[in-house]
Amino acid sequence: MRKYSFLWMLFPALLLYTVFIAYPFFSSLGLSFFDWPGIGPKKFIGLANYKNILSGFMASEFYRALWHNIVFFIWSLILSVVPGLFFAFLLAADIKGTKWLKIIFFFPNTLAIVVVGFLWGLLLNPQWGLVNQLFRVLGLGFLAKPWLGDTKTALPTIIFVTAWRGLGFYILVYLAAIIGVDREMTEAARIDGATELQIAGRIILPHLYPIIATTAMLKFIWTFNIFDIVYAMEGTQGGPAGSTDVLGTLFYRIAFGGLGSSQVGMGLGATVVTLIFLVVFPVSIFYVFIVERRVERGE
Amino acid sequence: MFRLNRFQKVIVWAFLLLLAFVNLYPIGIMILSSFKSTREIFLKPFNLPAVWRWQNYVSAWQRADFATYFKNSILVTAVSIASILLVSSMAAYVIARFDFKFKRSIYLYMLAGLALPTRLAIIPIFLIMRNLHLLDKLSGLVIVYTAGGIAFSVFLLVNFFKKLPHDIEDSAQIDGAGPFRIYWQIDLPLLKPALVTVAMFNFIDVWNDFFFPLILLSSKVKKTIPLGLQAFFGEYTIEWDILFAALNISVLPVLILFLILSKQFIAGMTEGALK
Amino acid sequence: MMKKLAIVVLLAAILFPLCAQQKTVSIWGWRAQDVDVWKGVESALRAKGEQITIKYEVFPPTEYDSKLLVSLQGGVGPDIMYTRRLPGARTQALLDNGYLTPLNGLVDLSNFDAVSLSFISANSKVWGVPFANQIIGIFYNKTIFDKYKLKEPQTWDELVQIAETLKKNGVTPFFVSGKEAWTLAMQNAMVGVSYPGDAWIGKLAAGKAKFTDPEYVGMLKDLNALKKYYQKDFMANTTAEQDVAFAMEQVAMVFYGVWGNTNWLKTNPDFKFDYFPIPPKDKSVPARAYTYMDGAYGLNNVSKNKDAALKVLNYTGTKAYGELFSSITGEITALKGVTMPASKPILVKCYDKMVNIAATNRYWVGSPFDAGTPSVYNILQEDMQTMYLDQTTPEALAKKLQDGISTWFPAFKK
Repeated sequence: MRKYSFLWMLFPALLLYTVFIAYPFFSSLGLSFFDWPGIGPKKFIGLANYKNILSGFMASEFYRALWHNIVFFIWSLILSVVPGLFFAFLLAADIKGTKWLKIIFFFPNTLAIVVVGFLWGLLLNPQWGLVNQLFRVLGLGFLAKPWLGDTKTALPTIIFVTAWRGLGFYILVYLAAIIGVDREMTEAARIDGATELQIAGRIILPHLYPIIATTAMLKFIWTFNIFDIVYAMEGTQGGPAGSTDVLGTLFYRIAFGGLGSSQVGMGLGATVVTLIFLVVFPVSIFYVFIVERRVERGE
Repeated sequence: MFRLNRFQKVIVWAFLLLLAFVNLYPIGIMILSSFKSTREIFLKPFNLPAVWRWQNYVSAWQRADFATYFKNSILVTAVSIASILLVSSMAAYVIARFDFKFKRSIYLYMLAGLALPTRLAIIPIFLIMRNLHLLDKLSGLVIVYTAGGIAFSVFLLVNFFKKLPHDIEDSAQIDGAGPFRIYWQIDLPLLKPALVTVAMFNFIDVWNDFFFPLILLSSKVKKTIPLGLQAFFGEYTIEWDILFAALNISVLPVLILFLILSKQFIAGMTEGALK
Repeated sequence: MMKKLAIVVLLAAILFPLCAQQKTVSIWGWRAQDVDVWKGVESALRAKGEQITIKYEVFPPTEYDSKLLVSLQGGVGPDIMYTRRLPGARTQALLDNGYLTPLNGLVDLSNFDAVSLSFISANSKVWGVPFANQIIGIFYNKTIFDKYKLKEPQTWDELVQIAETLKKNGVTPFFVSGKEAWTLAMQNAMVGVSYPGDAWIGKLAAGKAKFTDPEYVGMLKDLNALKKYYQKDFMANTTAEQDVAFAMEQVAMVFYGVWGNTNWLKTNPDFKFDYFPIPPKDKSVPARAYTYMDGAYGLNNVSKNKDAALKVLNYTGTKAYGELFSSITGEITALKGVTMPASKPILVKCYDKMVNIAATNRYWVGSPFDAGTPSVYNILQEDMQTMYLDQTTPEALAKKLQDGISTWFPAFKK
């Protein structure tokens, strides 16, 4: 057995990971069959929680939140990939002296999401906020809107703020990938008479597809973590009138209460988690599969 | 990378500077506003402060009890990162260096953590912490963060361990050193840059986290900076001067660290997506 | 080594009895304005020779109830907790889980009147010490009203007329904080006690009237029509911004509660303002003020510090406490017979209205309509927003109220 004396070094990580990351997903599944306010005896109710959420009294809120997550994912994907690639190419085009630009672009990523939320909340104030004041000064008064108070603009505004914080990350990831493209290939194309735009579009871009796919998958998974930004800018209710409610805030309200709803429903909350998990899991598996394959190949 | 003429260069730089402006403008407003009075912020939003009111910072610092929040945040972040580095590097070392049954399965099992939104685990985490009497304790947070950081850190470190040369290790083994000694004395020092990268990645996540403290902590003396800031915004809603100052105070330490270690920061955060 | 140990033991022996006498009572609440009140209580108790330290923790009002419940479940709750009202789901949850101690016989409650106590009583027991009574309605800028020679309106149409006059003169008549859904629910509730009226709500509670009746739908329509007199983009504003705008004299009126006066005076010490209840549509219906007990101090059933906590609670039942509370917070204490400070005319006026024209029936907080899910409060929170945004009609909102309440409200069920 001495041969395996090294194995103990694996255990702390394995134990912590199992208890606090892996087990909770199974535990949530188990809890989802119970009616339980978090204390006292658990009452087994079979699939009643699922019924309530998918077709019962929670259905409209659940589908609305799910839809908002999907909208969030699609738009923030577009807002990160398109400008991300655009600016990454610009940076790659004339790389000298861009060190400071990289730092500036990346900086918002280091801010806590709540800080970003509070800051933009102040900036987007309809009367005194800098955004509307700037529009008025520029003679674009028609753009001065109650951004966070209108059900039509609130979610897009939050998506924009999230994109503002995250863009630098995508720029730098894509930039690293662009720089990683084999120089000989671009040089060869150049000798063959390709324009710079053709080199970017036809030679380099295809090499970026895998990394774009990876970031898209990560974005999809992260989308289900969204909570802080909505919380900071619109509260746990995802106001106005639920127009920014996402699964994160919905699940927080169900599991841990919130203004107006004093019922703590751990079972119902666990059901929402399990349902989200069912959506995320296939993508997660696929992502891990790809990462694993890439690592294997890298060896 | 590309060959551009002068005109093209001007256009490229115009776009780049535009984005820099979009990034810096809100930050600049945040800094300037923090030196004004609330009246000035409302009435003369674009002007420089008439008088630079440093006292905004003093009152924000005192009223929000930032000293406590900083202490808590530093403690939680430091201990969490140290634990993540220790347990993850040990595990990564074992996975990278040894062969044993189920190794591949265990590794894949841990990799799955890369792709799980950890917040979804909060209900059972809350219940476990309650049973362990770790609610409203900073140690509870540290445990959650350590567990949450393992998947990514192990993944990165395994790759780094694999790249290390084997020969020094082999000679150490002949000298009779056990696996822990080889890991601790020979491999770990070689891995310093990788450890910094991993630390930076986790630093941003842990330092900025709002969700777990919101649910696991309750008393004021335990609050971390993001949570303290939230309470502050709830309390001093009409005093924008102090709110802006508080925002700046909360941002400053990360800003300084980021400016010093920007390369490591960026590497730490982009590494995961690039692998 | 032994020497050091001896010193430590000695020090511990000296310090321990001192520590033991020093009792810390933890209190949780949602009111930031009470920090100084508890400091006052602490020094008052010290003066009486009680070595009690009070640790007061404030939570954001919208987070408080859930945080408290979750913490109590986790066994890390406070000794004394602020509670809301009964009937009301938030307080009921504390009661159902056995977190509150009945205070009969433990705290002297003789300084409270029956109405205040009724708001925190159930099963013929009192579950908390009431701290404040609130009154809500319209607060107006006296300077602006004088300038345009306006008088407090007696009917809804006069109110609209006032708004019209102000608007013509370029003054924003109302500031409404539409981003905070609860204020819209509150606005609806304060209009309700005068517009369909106190008696109508009485019929509603007895199951003899419906939310879909023309009286109520008419009120919703009139409220919805009033929004043209609100500030531009009112759906994006918060109460904090309302406080600033009102106190800086940028608007003439707000739908709010008496507690706002502290912030207004802090923002603008020379600010002159006054109160009137919502006027009725029909002159034959009396104007009523929506009043309610704001909250109470409850004793944690599993507190390890019950003795010290009871000393604190007993002090909060004295007139001295009532005076301390009103003078620091600028709000109306729940203790009877406390004279409002003359330096705060708004309190004198509101206290008078509270005594004389308080509504006896209501459908917002502290009402039977707040006891189940979905409550009137729940529905109004979301659908007042959608009504103001023209995404739902007054008729649809009335129907949603009627249908939602019918699922659980006893008088509606049969």
